[in-house]
Amino acid sequence: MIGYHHRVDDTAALRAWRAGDRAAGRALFGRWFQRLRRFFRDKIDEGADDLAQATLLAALDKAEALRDDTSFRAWMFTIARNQLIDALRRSPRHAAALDPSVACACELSNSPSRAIAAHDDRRLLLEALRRVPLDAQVVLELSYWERLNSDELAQILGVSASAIRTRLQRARELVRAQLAALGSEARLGATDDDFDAWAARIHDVAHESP
Amino acid sequence: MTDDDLTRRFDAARDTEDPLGARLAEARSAAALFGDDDVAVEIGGRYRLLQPLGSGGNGLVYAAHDRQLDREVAIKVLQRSRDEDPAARDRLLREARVLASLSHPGIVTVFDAGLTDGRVFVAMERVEGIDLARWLASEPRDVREILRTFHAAGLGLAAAHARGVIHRDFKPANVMVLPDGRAKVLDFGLARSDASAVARGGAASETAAAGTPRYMAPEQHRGELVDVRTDVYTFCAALTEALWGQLPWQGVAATELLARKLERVTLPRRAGVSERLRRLLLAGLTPTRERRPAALDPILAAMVPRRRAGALVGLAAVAGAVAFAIVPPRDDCERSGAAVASLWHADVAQALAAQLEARATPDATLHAQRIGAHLDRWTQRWAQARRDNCRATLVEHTQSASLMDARNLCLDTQLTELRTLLDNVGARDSAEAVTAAASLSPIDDCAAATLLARGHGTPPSPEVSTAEAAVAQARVLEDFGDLAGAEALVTPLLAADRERRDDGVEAQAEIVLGAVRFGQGRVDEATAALRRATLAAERSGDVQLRAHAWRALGLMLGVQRLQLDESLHALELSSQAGAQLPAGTREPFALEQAWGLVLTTHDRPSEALPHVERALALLDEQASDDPSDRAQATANLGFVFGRLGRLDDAEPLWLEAVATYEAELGPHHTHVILLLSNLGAAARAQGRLDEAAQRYATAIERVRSGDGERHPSYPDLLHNAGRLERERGRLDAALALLERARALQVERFGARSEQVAGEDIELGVTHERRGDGEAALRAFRSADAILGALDPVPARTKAIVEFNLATGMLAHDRAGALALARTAADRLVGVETGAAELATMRRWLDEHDPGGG
Repeated sequence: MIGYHHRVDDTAALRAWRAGDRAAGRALFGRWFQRLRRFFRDKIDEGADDLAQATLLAALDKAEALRDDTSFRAWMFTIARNQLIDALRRSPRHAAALDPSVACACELSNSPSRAIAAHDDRRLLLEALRRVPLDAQVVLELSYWERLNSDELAQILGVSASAIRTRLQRARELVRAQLAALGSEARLGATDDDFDAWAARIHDVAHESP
Repeated sequence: MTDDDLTRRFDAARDTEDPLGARLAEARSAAALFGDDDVAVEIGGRYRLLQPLGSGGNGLVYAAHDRQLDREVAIKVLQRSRDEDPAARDRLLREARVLASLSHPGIVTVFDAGLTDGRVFVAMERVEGIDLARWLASEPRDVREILRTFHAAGLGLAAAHARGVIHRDFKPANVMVLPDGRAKVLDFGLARSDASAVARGGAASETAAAGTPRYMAPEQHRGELVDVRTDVYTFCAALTEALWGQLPWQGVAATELLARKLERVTLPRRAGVSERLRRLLLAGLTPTRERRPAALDPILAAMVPRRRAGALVGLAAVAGAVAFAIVPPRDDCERSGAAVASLWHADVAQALAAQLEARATPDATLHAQRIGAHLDRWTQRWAQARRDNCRATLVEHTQSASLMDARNLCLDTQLTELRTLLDNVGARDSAEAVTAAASLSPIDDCAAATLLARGHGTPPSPEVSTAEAAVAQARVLEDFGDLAGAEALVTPLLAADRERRDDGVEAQAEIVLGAVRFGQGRVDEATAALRRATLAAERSGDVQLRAHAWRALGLMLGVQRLQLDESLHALELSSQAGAQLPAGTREPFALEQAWGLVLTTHDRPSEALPHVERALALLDEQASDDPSDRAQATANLGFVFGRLGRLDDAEPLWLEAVATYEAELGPHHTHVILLLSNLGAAARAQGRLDEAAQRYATAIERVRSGDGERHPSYPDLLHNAGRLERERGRLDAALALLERARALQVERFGARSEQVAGEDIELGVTHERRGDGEAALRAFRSADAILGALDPVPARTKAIVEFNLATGMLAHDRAGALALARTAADRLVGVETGAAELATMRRWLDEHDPGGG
């Protein structure tokens, strides 16, 4: 029921905004801005905010093409994915021949791979996601975070629903493999009680420093 | 990893780590798309953003409500440039703080600056009016009106120059004209303080870059250094344009602009513009910076009719005249550093050496020599700082008289530290005296940039000065371990009426009290004092005190109270405050050390590693010549490597630190013995058992020939040596060493301390090895009972105790033993430094309980 209302509300809100109802546009923005921002984060170095705005404006522009029986979420994220790919292709770092089923955000980014402590699950997962192909990242995030079903994901990537189920499975495996690799990068050393004594002592030294 | 695990991880990673940034982004996007801003965003803990006022060249401006002072302010959140590194951001923040110390009717006052979402924000006076560019364009203005308005703005600019601040982007759009005709210079967002350049003895600040092409000086086009004369150029360009209606390079393409500016400028005579002013403007527009007027003052003087000059620029003119009249001969500044020489000179040094050597403590001769070296260096720097300060104001005119006074008072307080040190040094332990001599406040704490960043650009009241001297005395006494003396000095300061108390003094006094209470073993009271210190420091707004107080509290919470989250929060606050201090203070080094220590204490060595590495790097950056700091940082890095199991990396660092400490503090010093003990452990862990035994033997011999068993690290040393002997199969020798260690730990920490539990564990293992199961179980039970009654104990320690107890219990209570071992193993899951122990436990569990778990 919640999903149903969402869909109707968003479609209606977009059309009302298109017809000049600023309040409806503002409400749609309030529901979507952070979701779109989350979609773009960790996929592009900067400009996630601009892309979120651009996606909403592109949706406004295309509002007439939106049919009643279309999943609004799938439609919006399709626009978002296109905005992302366009932006990545525009970046001087990457050739126009970007293939989102192969290239990962980590290759498309200027920021170096991040060193992460083994217990920081959150960052480990985000880093693992950056290391799988962009489309795998997209389907996983939309599936887990936005609860999109395989029909909706199929619409976004332009493939069949059964292909999506295979891709999701494969994407999970890729992320697990990346998590395992990241886990072993973090160093686990053998330790020795003997050094504990020093910790207590350096405290005094550090404490006494002005 | 199961699907459930993956789902859980996704859930945890869904939301942003930076909610304020997200809300600001939403507010900004809402402003862009809908022209409004109805998302409540509060920054700096007190400013609620109301609505965007527009975007300046370098950031978005919001109207905001300052809850603390219940007034409207304008907030500018500076854009983060693409390549901005934290150092650049920190510099910007410090400079914004310098601006906050500027108050002048010709300047839009900056109240506050801080960080929000990693960006610098500036809170400033909200001014109603229009900018000068629009004021000029909106209707024809006569020459007198133009001159009067530019004159008001020019006075603001000159006031900034007097404080070492250059605007760098002066232009009509950066001047607000108020309805009553006053003018205020705005948007020092691009300005760079040249206090650092002044401090280095130069006049130009380090970088150039931004500006507005039409007005900017040739040196800005070329990306060269900028100084006051750069502002002279831009001011003259803007005024020329206003008076003549255009600039000589009007309409020239951007790429040709510099070439055109390098050509000779001519200006026709203009009614209402005096010949003197016309010539001065031409001089101000000279492409060669060295040929321009060195300050705005002559131009400003020429802008007002001569007969009124005395009235209008009266104050500035008089101040200038006085300054020029009292320029002392160079020698007067030379002599100004002499005060320190009356306290520390060759006779004092000799007497001190004789006094220390007469006490016949180990290494006293070396200590006397090291104290002499430290005090020679410190007093030379003090004298140099005094001379530089004198010259900056009286000879070079790069500093105001009141800043000179403030710096002199700061230096006087430091002299109090030296006096206290010399009064007490002869009666104290000579090794402590070396440390105390090395711990005298850095002279740079009294540098102009530091005082300005702390909001101490003007001299404190006599009451505050007196109180600060008392705190300085207390600090030295505490360094010496004279806790009662230190307490007696700070207690009266804290007893004064709340209203009459100075927040800064209160913070300093509470910090000293915290150290005193800690020294007395009263950790709860120490923590309470440090909490009060942070509150007072926050009220004072002094960034150095805030950084220091939060750091001290973070250390206490992290290391003594084992409250990791609260500790990290405090250290983060310290870091934010410290970021506003100018480069070169000791604070960042101390903070990195604290961070490393807290994280290491909590079994997170790989998180500690970047901090201790950074601490060492900071010493290199500052070309620090304090051997103790370097040895400490080196030893700490080695310690973290040790905890990571990287003993091959740790060993050379410890060897280096030992050598430094031996030369600085003598072969019998605590730190040397500790490091020898660690080196023994390192050799042992790498299988070089004989070398390990040799290192322990050296350490034990030095304890006995030095302080004897009173030596603070002696029990730890016995503990380590005992473990080694057990490993070498000399079980009776091991038991003797460990029993002695336990007895000393009981003396030092009490019978129910974590340290005693640690010895019980080792004794238990040794008894077990000897085949005495009953004695072993007794020892493990004792350890478990002690730890169970203690405040939070690190998971790893607890797990090791439980596991040892479990192995001992196996024969009598199999089910209980297995359950306890499983509890221990579970405790270690996810504990970084417990991996090896966890593997051992799992092997043992597999062996004894193959079907379980």
